[in-house]
Amino acid sequence: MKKQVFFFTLLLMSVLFLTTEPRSLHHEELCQRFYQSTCYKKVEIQDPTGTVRSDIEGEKATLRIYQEILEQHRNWSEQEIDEAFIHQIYTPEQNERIRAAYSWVQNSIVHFIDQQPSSIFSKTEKTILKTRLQKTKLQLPPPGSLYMDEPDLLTKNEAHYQRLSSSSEMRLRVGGAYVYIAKSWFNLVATLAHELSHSIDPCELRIANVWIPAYQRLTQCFLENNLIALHKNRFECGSHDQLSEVFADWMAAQIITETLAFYATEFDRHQILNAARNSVRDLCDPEDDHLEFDLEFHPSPKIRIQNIVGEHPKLRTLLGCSAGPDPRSKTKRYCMLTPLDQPDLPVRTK
Amino acid sequence: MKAIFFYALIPFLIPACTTSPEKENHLHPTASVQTTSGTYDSSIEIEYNLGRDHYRYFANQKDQLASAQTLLGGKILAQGTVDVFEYQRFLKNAVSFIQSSQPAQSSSKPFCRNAFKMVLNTQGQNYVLHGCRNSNPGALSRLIKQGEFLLLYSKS
Repeated sequence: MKKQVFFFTLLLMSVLFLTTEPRSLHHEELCQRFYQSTCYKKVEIQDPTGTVRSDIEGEKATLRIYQEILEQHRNWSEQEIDEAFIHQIYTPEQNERIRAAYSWVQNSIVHFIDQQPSSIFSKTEKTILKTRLQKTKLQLPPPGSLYMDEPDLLTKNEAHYQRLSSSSEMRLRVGGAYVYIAKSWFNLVATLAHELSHSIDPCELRIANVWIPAYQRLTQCFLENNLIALHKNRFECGSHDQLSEVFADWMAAQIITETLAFYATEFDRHQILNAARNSVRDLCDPEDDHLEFDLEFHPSPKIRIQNIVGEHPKLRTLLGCSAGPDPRSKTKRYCMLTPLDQPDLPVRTK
Repeated sequence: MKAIFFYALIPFLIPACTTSPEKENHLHPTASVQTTSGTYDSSIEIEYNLGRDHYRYFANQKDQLASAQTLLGGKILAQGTVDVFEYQRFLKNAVSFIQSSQPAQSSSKPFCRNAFKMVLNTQGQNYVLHGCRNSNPGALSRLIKQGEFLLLYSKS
């Protein structure tokens, strides 16, 4: 009998452990385990603006919506069905919200560039970067014809930047499944910041024959800190290279931090922490670790969430973590834009 | 672990993002899918990357029955039996897609961010196509959408 009680108690404790948020973690430990606290599987994180749902949930939901429309209107053409779907998903309110976030992100990156001293970006370099950012257009249906050349995007949980080789047009599109599930403003900001940053990433600039020395030093820092995986057959800005994705994550981290700093007077620390976690929650490893996703061009979720976002010095301060670097981190230092003649920042000691 | 294995295979599955048929066999979109006694068993598989996500669409016909499934990262988004006539139309479009895909110039693109692989099996022959989503704007996307609709129409 005693044995049974013991095992029952053990089972109950295990269930409780698996289904509750690790609130008992010491705050400093939470700072050091930003990835674990963000990706803790069982608990939905509520920030003041909403939550973040998984990719698969969004896609299943949008397919169901398509199916409902099909069931109700069997005689409709594919175009009519698409229009009805778009009407349900890309509502004026949702589109307005996304446009507002896009505008916020665009202005924030421009501001970030403007703030850099001339020892980092020359006047010409700043003009090039800002022009590319402003030329990148956000495209949201309706009309449905806007995504005519990419109709499968309507059910996808993707937002992506594209540069058309035929016209050099730069655009950013948002899939229907993402629009449907994007409730957290902070996740929206982080997602759009990542995508828009591709318009000025080192690889996109290389294609445009633009070389920015400050980018080369930043790339070097990414490599030294193992943020970019050194695949055996890595070809910079080519196959098996994560540079453009690491850069986009890094720039998004700057924008997330500035966005959270803006809201820090309005929200309490716990709300800021949840907003920070939600901003990158969709980058977590899939729930049962069986989902396959790209690691050729993208760093692992842990590097993206912990090292690139979670270790941003200003974010750490905002979250009430110690301002100094985390001594347990695998990276030597947090990468920042540096002028040519600046001596190396002190290297972390383990 | 599965994911690691899969990505370790990618260099072999997609050696370069050119759009080139693996075989020199010529496909005839109308003649290849019909015989006097009925239809051949056939299958179409499209694997593609979009952003960081990996997708797979699979449809096949066996013994006058057709079915399809669409997966995200190995997890089923939708699956079921599909209308044989609609499946045949989809198969013809897939054949046309393979036929119209021109091999890319070797110097045109150093790499491909959103790669795809398509395997078409008909009349007991495999036709494999490796390509880039952007190399023929809209073509792959439209085919995938058609495949998904085939599944949704049949389920409704």
